[in-house]
Amino acid sequence: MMSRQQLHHLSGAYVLGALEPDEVRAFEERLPHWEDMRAEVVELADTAVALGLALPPVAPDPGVRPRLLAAVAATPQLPAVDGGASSDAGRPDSAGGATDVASRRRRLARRPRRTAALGALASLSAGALALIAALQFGPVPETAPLSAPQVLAADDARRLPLPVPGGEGIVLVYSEDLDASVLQWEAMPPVAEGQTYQFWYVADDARAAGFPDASAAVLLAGTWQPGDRVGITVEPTGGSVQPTGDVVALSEPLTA
Amino acid sequence: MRAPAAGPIRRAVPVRTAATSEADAMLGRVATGDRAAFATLYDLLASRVLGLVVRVLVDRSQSEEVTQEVFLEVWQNAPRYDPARGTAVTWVLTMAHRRAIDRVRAAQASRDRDLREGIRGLPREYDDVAETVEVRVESERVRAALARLTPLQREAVSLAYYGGYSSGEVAAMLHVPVGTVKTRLRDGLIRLRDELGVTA
Repeated sequence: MMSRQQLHHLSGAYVLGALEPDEVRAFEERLPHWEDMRAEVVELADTAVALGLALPPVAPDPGVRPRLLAAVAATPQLPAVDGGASSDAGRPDSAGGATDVASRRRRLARRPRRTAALGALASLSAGALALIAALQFGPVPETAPLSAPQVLAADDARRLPLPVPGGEGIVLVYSEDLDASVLQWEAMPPVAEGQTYQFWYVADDARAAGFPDASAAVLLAGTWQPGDRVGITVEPTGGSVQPTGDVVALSEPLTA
Repeated sequence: MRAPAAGPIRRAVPVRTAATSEADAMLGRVATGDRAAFATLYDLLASRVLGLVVRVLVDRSQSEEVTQEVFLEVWQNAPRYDPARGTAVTWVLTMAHRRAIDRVRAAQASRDRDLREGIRGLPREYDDVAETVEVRVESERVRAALARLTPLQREAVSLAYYGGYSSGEVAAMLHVPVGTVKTRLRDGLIRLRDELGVTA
């Protein structure tokens, strides 16, 4: 257990992302109760940003922008923190505290713990490893807006349970007529702060299909083909362009 | 726990230009799901994000991926952004730095960056850039502030921020105890904060 004095010396390294995970934990546990340190952390974070702004700008490849805009069109936003049940409602400090500086800073500062390996989902489909973000974020086809209730109510809707340890009633509902599927659940086990569940259609590649939201019934982005599976992984907040984290569920193949 | 209203927090964000104000305005609109505003925010900040990420990661294509991830994260988390707590630029660049560090640590085994690369000073070449006066001025200001640090402070801060190295790695590179590195990172940043003309 580090003393307050010892922890105090960590603020610079904390802001610069230079601490070890156990030190980050110790520091962050103390931070909410330590007003002058919170203020220092905010100031030093701003100072660090000044170092970043002093670097020469580098224009991204022109292809990034359209890919990103397509991805954004298919990606729901997280609800504001005072919005009650949310995708991260199970996170330890998401209730209320997220509105204060320290908590927000901690959220920003939390380093997602990526597994070094890409995990079972990627190894299951070796092609995913080779895929670049461009393929994951290919343009989303323009279709008439479809909603989760429509899929759930489709005449040809079929249900495929996804067993998830610690979860309840997690079911994929898919419709061939509508060429769409909905992932619904009664309960998902909480993920650590800085992480999120992410949904995927998985075939030879993995296509990002969205994130949980407060509705507990998410229309997956994109369409499916017979033989596709639906997977759920744990990813850093904001999601990934290809699966990087633990696989918590992988469905049987969808059939026509 | 909800924080009591903090005292005046000194903002060290260096330049308040039309661009940073516009970024603030755009992020506020992005929070409401405005995709056009998101596109504008990207146009305003993408080159700053990539400039930072590529500095840490070195590899250009990985850096473009990370940039894309950062902006997707911006989109998703925008409803939770609180403008009272800092500028959009700080929010986005802090996220970018964390993401770059995550990536570089995940790829630790393959990284071939060395001490020399880590401690190279602020770049003096601007060949990849549509250079602006603003960037040049800001760069000079930060360079001058860095020059006022002790050599150990300067090297430690540069390795940690620009190199993405942990305190332990910095300690090994500079042949000093890790506790010393942590202390120098803190007093170095505090000195930078003061040198950069923090306003109360």
